[in-house]
Amino acid sequence: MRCWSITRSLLLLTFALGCHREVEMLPLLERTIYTTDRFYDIQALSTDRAVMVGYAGKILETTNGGQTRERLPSGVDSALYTIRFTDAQHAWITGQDGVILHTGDGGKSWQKQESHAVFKDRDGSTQDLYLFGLYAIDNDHAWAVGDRSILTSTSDGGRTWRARTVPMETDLSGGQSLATADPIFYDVMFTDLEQGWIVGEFGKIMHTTDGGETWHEQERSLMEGTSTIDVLDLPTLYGVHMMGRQHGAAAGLEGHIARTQDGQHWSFDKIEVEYPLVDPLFRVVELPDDSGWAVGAAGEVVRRAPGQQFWQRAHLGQDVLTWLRGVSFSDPQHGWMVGGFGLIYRTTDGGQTWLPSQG
Amino acid sequence: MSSGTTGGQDKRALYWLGERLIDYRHPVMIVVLIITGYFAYLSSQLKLETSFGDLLPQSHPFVQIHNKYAPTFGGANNIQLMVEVRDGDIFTVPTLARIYRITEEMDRVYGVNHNQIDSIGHRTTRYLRAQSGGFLKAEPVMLSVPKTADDAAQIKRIVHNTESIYGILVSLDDRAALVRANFIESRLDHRRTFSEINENVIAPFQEGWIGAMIKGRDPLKPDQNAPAVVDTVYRGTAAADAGIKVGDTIVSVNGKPVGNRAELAAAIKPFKPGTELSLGVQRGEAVETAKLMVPERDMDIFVAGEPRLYGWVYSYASDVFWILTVTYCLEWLLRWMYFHDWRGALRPTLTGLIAAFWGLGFVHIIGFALDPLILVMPFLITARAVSHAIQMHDRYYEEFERHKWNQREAIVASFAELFVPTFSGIATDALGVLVIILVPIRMLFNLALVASWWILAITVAELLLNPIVYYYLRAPDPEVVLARDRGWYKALINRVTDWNLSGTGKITVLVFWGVLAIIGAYLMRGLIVGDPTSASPLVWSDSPYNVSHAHIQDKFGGVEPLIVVAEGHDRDAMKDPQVLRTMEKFQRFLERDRDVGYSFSLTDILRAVNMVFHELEPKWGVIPNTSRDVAQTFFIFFSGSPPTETAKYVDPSYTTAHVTFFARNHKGDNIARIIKRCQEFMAANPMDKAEFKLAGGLIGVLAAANDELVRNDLLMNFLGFGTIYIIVLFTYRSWAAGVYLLAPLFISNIIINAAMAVLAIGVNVNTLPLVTVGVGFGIDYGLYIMSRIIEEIRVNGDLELSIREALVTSGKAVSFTAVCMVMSTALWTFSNIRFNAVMGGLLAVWMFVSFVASETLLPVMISYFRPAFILREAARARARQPVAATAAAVS
Repeated sequence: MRCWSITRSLLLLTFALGCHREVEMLPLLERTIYTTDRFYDIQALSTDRAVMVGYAGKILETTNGGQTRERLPSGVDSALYTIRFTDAQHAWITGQDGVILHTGDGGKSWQKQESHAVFKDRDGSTQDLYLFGLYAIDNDHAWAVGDRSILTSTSDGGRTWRARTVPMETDLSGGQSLATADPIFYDVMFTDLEQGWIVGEFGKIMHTTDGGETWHEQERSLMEGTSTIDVLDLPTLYGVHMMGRQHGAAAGLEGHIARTQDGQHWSFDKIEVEYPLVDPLFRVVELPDDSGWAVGAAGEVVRRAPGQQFWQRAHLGQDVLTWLRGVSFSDPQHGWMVGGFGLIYRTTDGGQTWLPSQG
Repeated sequence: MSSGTTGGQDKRALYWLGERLIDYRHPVMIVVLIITGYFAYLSSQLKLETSFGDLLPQSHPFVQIHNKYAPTFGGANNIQLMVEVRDGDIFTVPTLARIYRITEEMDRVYGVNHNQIDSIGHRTTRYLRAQSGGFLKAEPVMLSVPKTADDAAQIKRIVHNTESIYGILVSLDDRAALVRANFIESRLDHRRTFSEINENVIAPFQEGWIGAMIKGRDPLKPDQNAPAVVDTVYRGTAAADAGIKVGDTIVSVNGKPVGNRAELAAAIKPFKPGTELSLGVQRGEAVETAKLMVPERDMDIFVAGEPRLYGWVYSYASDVFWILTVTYCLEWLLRWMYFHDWRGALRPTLTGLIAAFWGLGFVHIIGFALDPLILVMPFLITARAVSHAIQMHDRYYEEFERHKWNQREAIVASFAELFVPTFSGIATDALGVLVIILVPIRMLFNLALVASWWILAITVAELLLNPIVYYYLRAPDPEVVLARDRGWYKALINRVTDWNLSGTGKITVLVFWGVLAIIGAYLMRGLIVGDPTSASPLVWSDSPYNVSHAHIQDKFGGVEPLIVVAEGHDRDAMKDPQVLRTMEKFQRFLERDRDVGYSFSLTDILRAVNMVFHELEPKWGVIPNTSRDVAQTFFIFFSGSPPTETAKYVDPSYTTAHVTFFARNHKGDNIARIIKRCQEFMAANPMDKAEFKLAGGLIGVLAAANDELVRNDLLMNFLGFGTIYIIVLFTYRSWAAGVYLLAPLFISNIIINAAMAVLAIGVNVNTLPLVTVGVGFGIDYGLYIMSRIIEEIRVNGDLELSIREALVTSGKAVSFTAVCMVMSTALWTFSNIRFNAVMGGLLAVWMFVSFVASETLLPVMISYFRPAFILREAARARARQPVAATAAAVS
């Protein structure tokens, strides 16, 4: 700070020397993780390597099991929602404002690709659509879904993306049709180049058998054997995870987890908890050992043990009080969870203990 | 007889004036007493209060922004109250109920802005709730006191899912909740706020908590406290164990009647946990006795913020009375030991009292109130008045002996001979302190006027009235006068003077002060503007205030607001995504400064609402990318709230909003750095539809005050020293005299500034007046000694002899004055107000250093350099009749 303080007594000297001290600009804190960070997705690429994405264009990579993290330059400020590596070098990221980023060098550099995910209003105005979900099956084929039932896909490694609105099969009359005509799609997953699933608002489960050209609804199967008679009452589904063409799970509002054993029919799984699970679950993964994990709002984490048909609250060893949005395992022992307040948790023992990864 | 420093003609006039004052003593005395009486009456009307606006430089652009937006976006006078549970989390029914009631009571504290309270228990803290039919409504987190565990669980869920609350009003570990209240500046009453918070907000829920909710107010008579009727008794608590039931009215504690919740809490508060109390409980008509075991405290309440800090300062203000009493008693004792009679002991107090009445009366006339933090200042002036009086009294005794025990001649001679140094001393003090008016801060302006006037009033008490008072008093006993000039003190002065003027002494003195000046000059580079520590420097670091402040900082990151206003160029500017994203970027940027805890803006609400609107999906917790979506999101949240509530986030036309940063402290260096960072960000991130304006909140206005202190300091120093130099120039009619007198002052100032740097005392609106007034006060010692040297050289014509004579006569009185001043200012170090204690200690050091410099360095410099303006007096004296003889002939 300016040395006004050179005192009364040294007045003449002060004038003579013109001495003044500038404001001392202590360096800004440089962390890779701040409590204001919000991480939406993580992909575990090996036991030690994982890449996560989040708010304000943030991409972090760890190659040593979370001991250190490196920030990868995304070149954008938008929220980045989903990341999908197809091998150690190639990956896509989707985000807010129709953002699609691609890397071919393991994340060192990211190039923006034109998603064409744009909504044209009746007044002629356009709006970039949020791309909430993404799945890539190989280095050429990827699909991204988002707001207003948008689906955009590439089959040439991202050089061109073709965007379209997925039409709904259900014809609802009156005001309902307005709400359900273009539900928000939150997640997409393909098991091969033909078979894929999209989940979203109003419990929407869309299935394709032709690589995403045509889609058929499967959510009505969720109503079978339940008291639900209106598709609008089905819970919004945020995440889907398929283990082959037959087996898969989807997670959604009010802690619902739906599963399919044949790739066609879905039913809600039983959740055995000592007090009600009322918060949404956002992401579900199923593992080769037939276990499953799902994470959600208010720090809710539920787990299905291998071979069991019901889910239970997982004991993390500590209270997690904010939302968790991403979960990923490289193998049944090594996994990650990410969420709000810059939270990153890691397990190396199949989820018996989870330890926070500090910034 | 010696002559003064001025010419013989002037001295004759002074002798004549002294004679006339005695001749017309009755009318002069009556006029002075009438005026003093009037001022005394005005003094009795004085109030002790702090006007926050007066502490700010009103013309500074930051303060203008602060004034413009403080009524809506919140000002600098925030109180933060933190409730922290000792076990578990806050989401239990009794704890949430208490948070709700605490918030309710906070809302009733005098001067609070009812629309600017943030707490999970306040109606303006809302969350988005889905209603039947798919509609969303922004509802208060707590609509009423929670009653069941389900209510508590529901509140917990709301908090955890609302990003604008979790981590901001509830700590991330769920153990603490924050109640933040802003106070209206024009309605600040620190003492009242302090006691109302203690009695109504804290005591019933902390020390006075027995496990039952006691009714606070009668809904039909909201201005009155209701009787202590039990509303709820919580299971497993002391109240439940005592058999207290809902509907009971507690009427007494151990036989002492209690009329309401606050009185009940006050009655229980003094007892330790485990103490058994007997409560008088009225059930219907009957009054029964219940045995209550005072429970262990399960919750702590911490309160911080400027109004609270000043509340503590006021609560310590009674210290001043005791310090003054002890100081005066000690001074009387010292003076009695020095003068050996009661006149010498008490007469200087008369000067101090009269000057004080004149000064305090003037304070009232200009509509200025006394701040407890500036009480050291009037005390210092009074002490100064007393020290002038000691000089005069000592001289009176000296002249009494010299004039062969002729009282009238002695009175007139002492008056005439000391007039010049006394008046010069008073003038330098008065004008020196007047330069503070250059700082455009109302409080400093008023203080400079008052201090200057007060010091000038010493002229009346010391010069005008003195001859008359001495004439009324019986002449001292010659034995007493002679005794004063004997004994160990005089011997000590003689020995020190001899050594000082010896060859070794002179070299030692010069080297000593030279080395000290160099060390001081090096150390004082650490002196800073503003506060140098994160705790408040006004009270001690282990004081309840600073302990609370630290606790809240630990839990919530920062509590001292810096409000940056985003002023739109047009309506709806705050719906523009670019503006909102820049605001958010600003938040993330400045939060990386290590002294910024966290921040809050409209974007936090926007993101949170957008997320809740989309069924808690975090991916929607972003700023929408079109103005239409932003507008829709705001509509969802704000449409259910009255404009008075939403105005704290954004004005109703969406033209202007703010980003509030909560800083961890208000250290001067940090404020300067944070402001500079803001300016850098603003320059690098221009917005099309709005611009950022600095700055409101405590940090903003302190930045403005520090800025003004920096801006005016050099000029103030220059004028301060310049004024002293000019007065000295006229007094001694010499260009060189000022250099000799200012040299010891320079070095004293270097040392005092070094001490401030080392002791971590920053320069702020509180310390500046004291530091500046010290400049003027330091010169007085030198004036007395130099005047006496000139007087003596006119008689004996020998410089060395004159210096010696001056040091053993005036120098002796100066040394005694200094002892009194140092001792009385040092007593302030016992104050509970750290600021007063530190400033007292610092001024004591200052008085001591400038005294020693005047007694050693000044005479040595005169002896070494043999200034012409002194030597020429010897030549003139030889050509002239002794003035005293002439004066005697005139009279």
